[in-house]
Amino acid sequence: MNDSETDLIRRAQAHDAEAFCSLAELYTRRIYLLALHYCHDASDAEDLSQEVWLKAYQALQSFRFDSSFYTWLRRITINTFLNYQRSNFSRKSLVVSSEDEDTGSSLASEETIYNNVLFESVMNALGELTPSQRLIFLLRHYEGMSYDEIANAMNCSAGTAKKSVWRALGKLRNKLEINNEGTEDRLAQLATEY
Amino acid sequence: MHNCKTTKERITELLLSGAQVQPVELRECSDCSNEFESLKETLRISRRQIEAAAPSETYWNGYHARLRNRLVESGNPHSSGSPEQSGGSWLRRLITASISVPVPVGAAVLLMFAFSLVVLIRRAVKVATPPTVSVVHVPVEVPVIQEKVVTKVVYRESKRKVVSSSANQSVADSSLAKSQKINVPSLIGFKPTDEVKLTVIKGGSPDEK
Repeated sequence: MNDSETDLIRRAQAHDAEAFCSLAELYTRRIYLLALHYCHDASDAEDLSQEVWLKAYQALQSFRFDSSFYTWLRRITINTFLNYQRSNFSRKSLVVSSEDEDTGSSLASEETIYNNVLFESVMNALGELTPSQRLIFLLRHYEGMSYDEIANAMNCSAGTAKKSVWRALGKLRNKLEINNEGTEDRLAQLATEY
Repeated sequence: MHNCKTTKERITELLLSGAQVQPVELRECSDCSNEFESLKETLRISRRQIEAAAPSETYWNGYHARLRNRLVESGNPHSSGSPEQSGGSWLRRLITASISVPVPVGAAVLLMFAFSLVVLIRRAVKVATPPTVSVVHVPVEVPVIQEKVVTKVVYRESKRKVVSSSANQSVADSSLAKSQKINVPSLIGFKPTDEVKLTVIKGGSPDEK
């Protein structure tokens, strides 16, 4: 935690809303992407990630600098994700095409299409997992948490966390049809057909 | 000795720890080598995908503006505020507060509560109902005063005087009449008594033996 972050936290704890917004901007992308891969939908991801920030705002007084701010925030994130109603999950295929998205042209570039194909493949693979398994995989792969940390945060055993990660990787490999022989070429071909 | 099963379990951990180069023991086994490469590719593509999914900077400007609005709408939760507001939030927090309780403990508490409720209801019902009147027949001995009438003939020895003359007779009669007049018992204030003392005088009568 650097000085500027500590300063922002202290100011936010002293009822400075602007300082809290500045603090949030440091981590909004990370939380949003985690939410996006967890709930599969851009608008749901925005709601869910902003819910995390609202909860953090309400609980900021309880932050005692015992850990890093992001570790504290991640705990809130996990709890918010787990409380997120399963029925809210919509299996829409993503395209982050909100009104704010500036595509610049009505014709999407080849790279954008390729990314969309890639995104759908990964999302479909993650969609076959339970929300808990999906969250465990994201925490291990994207957040780099240890199995013990995940087990502690998710209230499960380290063995369960390990199995969830293996299962997720297996699903991903099958969905992406990775066989060491031109996976990139095959995805590019899919993008061309798209 | 190489064991494919245990090696494959290690491969995931190796890759998630950031290993990019195959260990020597994996190169000796084509299956394990392929497993390593395929999982490495899976992780690489999924990581690349997450980077590709990140929205553009334009999106983030709007995102932060919306977040700022939501924070403002939610109010300042840790502001000092007016006493009424802080009291209200304290009350709201108290009402909406929850604690996590293990299921067995919760079930036991609920059972105890239900049991005590039943006991209380029973007691209340007992107090509310009027006491039933039961008639008990107990024989009581009451002393009854019975009046006894005892008739006894009492003989009184009387001295018989020989009256010589009729003049004396008349005087005697008049004196008797006087004495009777004087000694007439009055029954006013007479109360019968339970005890009757009898004095039997033997030999009062010539026939008595």
